[in-house]
Amino acid sequence: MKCYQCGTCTADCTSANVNDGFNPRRMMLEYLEEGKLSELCWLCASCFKCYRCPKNVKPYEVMAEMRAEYIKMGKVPAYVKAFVETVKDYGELDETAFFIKLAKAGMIMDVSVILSTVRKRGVKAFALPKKSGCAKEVSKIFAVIERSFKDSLRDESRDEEGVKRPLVSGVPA
Amino acid sequence: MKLAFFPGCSAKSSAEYAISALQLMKKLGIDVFCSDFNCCGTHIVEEYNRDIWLALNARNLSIAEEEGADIVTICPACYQNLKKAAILLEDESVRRNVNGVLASVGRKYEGGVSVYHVLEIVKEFAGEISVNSNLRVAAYYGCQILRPPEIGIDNAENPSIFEDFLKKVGFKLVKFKAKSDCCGGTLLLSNPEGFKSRSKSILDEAKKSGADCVATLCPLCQFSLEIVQNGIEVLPFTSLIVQNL
Repeated sequence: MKCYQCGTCTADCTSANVNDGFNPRRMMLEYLEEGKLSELCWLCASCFKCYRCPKNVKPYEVMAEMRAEYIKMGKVPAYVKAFVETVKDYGELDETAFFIKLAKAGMIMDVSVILSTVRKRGVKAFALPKKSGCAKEVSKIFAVIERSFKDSLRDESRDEEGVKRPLVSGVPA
Repeated sequence: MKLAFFPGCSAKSSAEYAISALQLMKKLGIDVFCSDFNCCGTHIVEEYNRDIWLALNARNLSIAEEEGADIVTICPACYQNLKKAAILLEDESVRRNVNGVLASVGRKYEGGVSVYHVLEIVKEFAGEISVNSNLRVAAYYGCQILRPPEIGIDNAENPSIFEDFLKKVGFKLVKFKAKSDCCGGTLLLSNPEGFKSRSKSILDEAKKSGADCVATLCPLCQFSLEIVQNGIEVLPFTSLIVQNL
């Protein structure tokens, strides 16, 4: 491993600043040397400040790799699952559809976020979910790829007619 | 130059950014049109399945290509995803594989479409814009327009492209230490309190700098900063310009 443990990534990390225990230097070390995954990887803010690394290690990519590992195991936070399913079904991140999927998964948005959305969008904040014009093409792209790559996240329980099943299961508590 | 306008999904929550960006570009005589684009997928779809992420972006690039256009977006995350995909798709064998998938929806991508952030486009017309305003502006970059450095539009450690442009069109700029800090917007769902403390620290810093308003260039930053507003006005930079012409 190129990393010489200087901790630059951690000193300047957005997420380390607001999440207890989020330490990219240590998480990277444990993952790359012992293969140890940390669920904290979901709290990475994707701000790429860690690319300041003097050894040109890319901690963000290690976080992304950990997240991809969790996804392969089916251990996916509810918002990730809701995000992917919304894009798949609607072609874009239709906010109403996304919020409904989140609520169904028991995830309620922070009140200040809801208030701000309503303030900004007025009645449109309560618009019904609406598929974008490209939704059919997008769903098809998902279907074609999920069918053709055996090692991808294809849901094995999908039946011959392609009856819809949850994309990923096993959401952690 | 013909440009396909890619508003991105967050533009729905920051509609004034999309509208004012279009207004400004049209005012400048830029040939820009809207199209049937899909979500860029963001890193979430990329980590879920990289092939799907790439194919979704290839579909968007193919739409611009069909119109003989490049893509302009207002969203740094879309900018980053489209640009990363465009770079990958310059490889012929990658393109061949992706085109195998795109064929199922009757599309094809040959390569060569460029991806721009709206700032990169309008800054070329700075000489033609002149605002009538005494506002002292804090120019806020956020993250993904600058990082990762190989995708960013300016030096990630010491950017000046945004301030330079706003100065040229006639605004007064303040020295803003938090200009490339993260608003924490991506933590909105996973850690709302953490997100709010990040966004708040940026607005507090803007107040300290003596600014009358904060200019943003990212719909998610705009959304995040508005949630924690502390009395200082936060505006997409294109709205700020259009309102003061």
